Amino acid sequence: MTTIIEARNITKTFGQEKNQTVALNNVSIAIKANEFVSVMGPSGSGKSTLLFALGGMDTLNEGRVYINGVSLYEMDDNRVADFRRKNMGFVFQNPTMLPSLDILDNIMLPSFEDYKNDKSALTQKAQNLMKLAGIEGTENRKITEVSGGQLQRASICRAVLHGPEILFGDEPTGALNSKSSEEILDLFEELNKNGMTILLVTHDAKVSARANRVIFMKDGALESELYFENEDHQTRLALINQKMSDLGI
Amino acid sequence: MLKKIIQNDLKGSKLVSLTTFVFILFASFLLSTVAIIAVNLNSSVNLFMENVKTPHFLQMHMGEFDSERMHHFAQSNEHVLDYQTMPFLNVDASDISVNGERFTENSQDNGFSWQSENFDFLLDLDNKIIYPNEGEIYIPLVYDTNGVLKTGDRLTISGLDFTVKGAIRDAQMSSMLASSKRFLIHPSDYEKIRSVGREEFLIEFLLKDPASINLFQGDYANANLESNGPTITYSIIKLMNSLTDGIIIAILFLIAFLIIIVSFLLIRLTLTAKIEDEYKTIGVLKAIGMRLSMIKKMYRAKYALIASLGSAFGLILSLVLSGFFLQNIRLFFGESEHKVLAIISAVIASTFIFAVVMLFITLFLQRLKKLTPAAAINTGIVSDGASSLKHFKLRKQNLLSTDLFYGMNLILTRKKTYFTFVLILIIASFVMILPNNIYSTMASDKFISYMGLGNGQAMMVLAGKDDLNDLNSRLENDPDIETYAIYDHKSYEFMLDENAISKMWVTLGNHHLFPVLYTAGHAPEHDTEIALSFLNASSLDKKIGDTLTLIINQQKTDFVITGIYSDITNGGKTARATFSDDLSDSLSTSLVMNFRKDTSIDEKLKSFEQACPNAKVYNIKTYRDAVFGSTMNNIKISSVIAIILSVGLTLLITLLFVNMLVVKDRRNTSILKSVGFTNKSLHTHYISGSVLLVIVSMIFGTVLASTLGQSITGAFVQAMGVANLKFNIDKSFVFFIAPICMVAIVYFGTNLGTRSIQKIKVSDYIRE
Repeated sequence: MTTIIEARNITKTFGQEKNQTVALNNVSIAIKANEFVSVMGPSGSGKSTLLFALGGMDTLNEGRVYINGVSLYEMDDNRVADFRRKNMGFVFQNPTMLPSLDILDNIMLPSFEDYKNDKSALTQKAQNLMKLAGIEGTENRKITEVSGGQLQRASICRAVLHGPEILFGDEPTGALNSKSSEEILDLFEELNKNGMTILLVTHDAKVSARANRVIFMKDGALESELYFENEDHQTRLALINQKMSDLGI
Repeated sequence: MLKKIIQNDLKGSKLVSLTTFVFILFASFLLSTVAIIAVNLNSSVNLFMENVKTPHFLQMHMGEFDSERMHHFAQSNEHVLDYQTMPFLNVDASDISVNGERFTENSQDNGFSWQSENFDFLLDLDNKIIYPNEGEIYIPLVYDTNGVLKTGDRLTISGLDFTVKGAIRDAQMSSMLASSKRFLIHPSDYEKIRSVGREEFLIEFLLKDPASINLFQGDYANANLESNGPTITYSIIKLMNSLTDGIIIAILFLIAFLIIIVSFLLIRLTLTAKIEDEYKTIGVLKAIGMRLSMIKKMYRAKYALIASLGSAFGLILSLVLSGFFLQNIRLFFGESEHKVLAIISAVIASTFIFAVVMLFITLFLQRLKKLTPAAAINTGIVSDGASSLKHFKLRKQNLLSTDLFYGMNLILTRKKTYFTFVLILIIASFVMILPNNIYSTMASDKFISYMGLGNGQAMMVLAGKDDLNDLNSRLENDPDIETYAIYDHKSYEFMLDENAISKMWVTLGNHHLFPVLYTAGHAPEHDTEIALSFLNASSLDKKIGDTLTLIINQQKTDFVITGIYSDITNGGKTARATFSDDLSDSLSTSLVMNFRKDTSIDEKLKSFEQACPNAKVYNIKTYRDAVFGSTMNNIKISSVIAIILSVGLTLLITLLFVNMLVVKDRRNTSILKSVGFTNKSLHTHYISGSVLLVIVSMIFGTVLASTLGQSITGAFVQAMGVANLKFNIDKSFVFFIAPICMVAIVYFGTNLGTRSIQKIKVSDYIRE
């Protein structure tokens, strides 16, 4: 498998001199195409910062990030935005939807300009995805008229509608109940089976147990990682918990 | 704690706080200045008119004068305190030379008089009564200030030389709106030049009680005394003297009013944004038991500081700068005796501004009452009503790009937020266009028809009819003349009611050739028809179809009123008829004419002046400029100031508003950035919205300036006799220059205001 995401010696700090916090400390990582990767760690370990850095949504003090061999931080803002729209999708802990649009328009918004001449195909594709995510029938609703779980599924639909190669998730189930969480994770697995590379950040071992590769972070650095192949869910869970205990996380 | 809250609040919103301060300062400055000017103007004019001993009733008369009969009337009338008759010698400009050159100021009737004995004094610039020596002459102040004449000039009338010793303040004739100007000379010099001009009489009365003016006017009319000329009362003299500065007061007041409105909108805008930002905090404060009054106090405190400082500095500024505005008043009327009252009025005006701002904020903060802690903490909702629309869907539209769609969508879903912005843009467009509309209307050829002069190019006024036959045949055979008409101006008595009689100026002739502007009906066509000027019809309460009875050669004759027209000549009170009457004396005869194309009007007029030295020859446009020149100039300056103000206001408000939106939209901007929208796209969202709104606002502003603005201006000029004023707009300015200017400013302001979008990092606003 080819490397799709590569970070080389990235460092990210917050604050000035005396009050400076090192969020990422000389981190290097490579993620292969079609991997399902989970990043775990305690609060403040730098996992979300890593995700934003790999997605080109932050600035770096040092280091480089490559997506399919393209150096993300050497492009100007507008080119990064275009690149992100075409190649990546993002899902955040709290659904990030625009209040001035209904659910279907929110899902279609980023892809609309690319499908300007075939909007019925885009609408059809979006409705198929909504059906897959189990939120059909909410197309015309306002974002305040659906549940948090439905809104998060709509966010995933928006993130994958344009067919990105990579899907980033920052605690995507963090604000959901267990039933909704399971359904979202099922959806991620389904997308991964269809060839999408997934990178999730979570502090929940149950979420990480769905991934093929779990990376553990502490104090802005990568501490360790686990790879799974055919282990059942309970075994994966036990191994993750053991590793966390060993690392003192 | 309150001090700390205010300090932090001011630090966090420096630009907005400074702008609000500046607006309140300006509002306070303008209103205080208006108060200072109004009090001083009233006081100066009153004091001046007291020093002058302005007559309460003045009848101008040309022709025979029975002084014994008049004396008897004055002595026997119960209302009269004092009476005098002053001669006023009208001398044609062509008979006057200045330093050997011809005197050019002929738009006014130049008259010579000596100092009055009892009242209606002509004063020097210290408000002292002047008695010139032989060979000395004092000139009208307005000629001195306009540079027409100056102290030391040599004036020659009929070979007699005069040296200009200074300027005079004249209560009756100082204003350019008064059509005559008075020069002061020694009585013996008056006798020497008497044969050069036409003598008129100023029959003047001081009344015991000025309030009895109407009764006295009735007595005078009933006594059938000399009245071959205009009648002027104390109130008209005061109005004419106050008008120029009164217009400045009105303009400043209007600007102050607009600035106060904009200040309110600005405060509303910033306070709404702040409260929305702190919705959760307010909920928490309520939840922990803080009283609503205390919370309100926290929000009010900053504005109380800004408003008090703004009002105080505005007051100080007005006290320092009001001298500039008072220059004209001091020059024409002298010092005011109510300087302390003026300062007290200014303090009241600035306190009023402070109180109004605080009242507005207090009323605005009432909305916090409705907010429950649970709602605020749980939802933290932004109450701008942003919510998707039923029929405006991205997926259902084909015309707009995604960026333009989102820009429009933001406006439609946040109407309340944008409403304030639109209102300010409408006001700015209104302020930009209205003065220009007024100026272009006054400068247009059509405005001459409102003045009661018809649409002729030139006019000749003859004092008698001696030259008329010659002139008639000359004009008849002149190949350059396209049309001309002769008008006879006569004064007739008419029946006010069954018993009372009054007098009216009637212009006789063909009124179809050079029609004036009829606001109702049409020009008289038959001998039994008459048209009245708007002010005449209003004061007599006459309408189309009513009958008016004139007394012509001792015969009562009924006339049907066929039209009402706009007129400012002769105090706006005139009539027009077509009948012929060779028996009554004419006040004057005028000829109005139009020339064929390619005729040099000025050269033609020169030849007429040479041929008829006793006639006054006017190019009507030049005449209009002489009468309204200074007013038009003031309006032109106001127009330029209004454009600068509007541009500045629009830029400032756009910058503040867009900046506020960008701050408010940071999270939404992060979302859009995270899903791949470029900075250029995000700019487009704001720019498309702003440009759309400025176009809509311009349309509203333009329509308002042409409707509401026209009504307001119409009401203002109606008092002068201009009825049913219709704007003659400068199309290139209203439809091209102003809109392009406004769109460019809003585009520029939005671009500047959205620069910070580039700095918004997704990670800062999305990360939990």
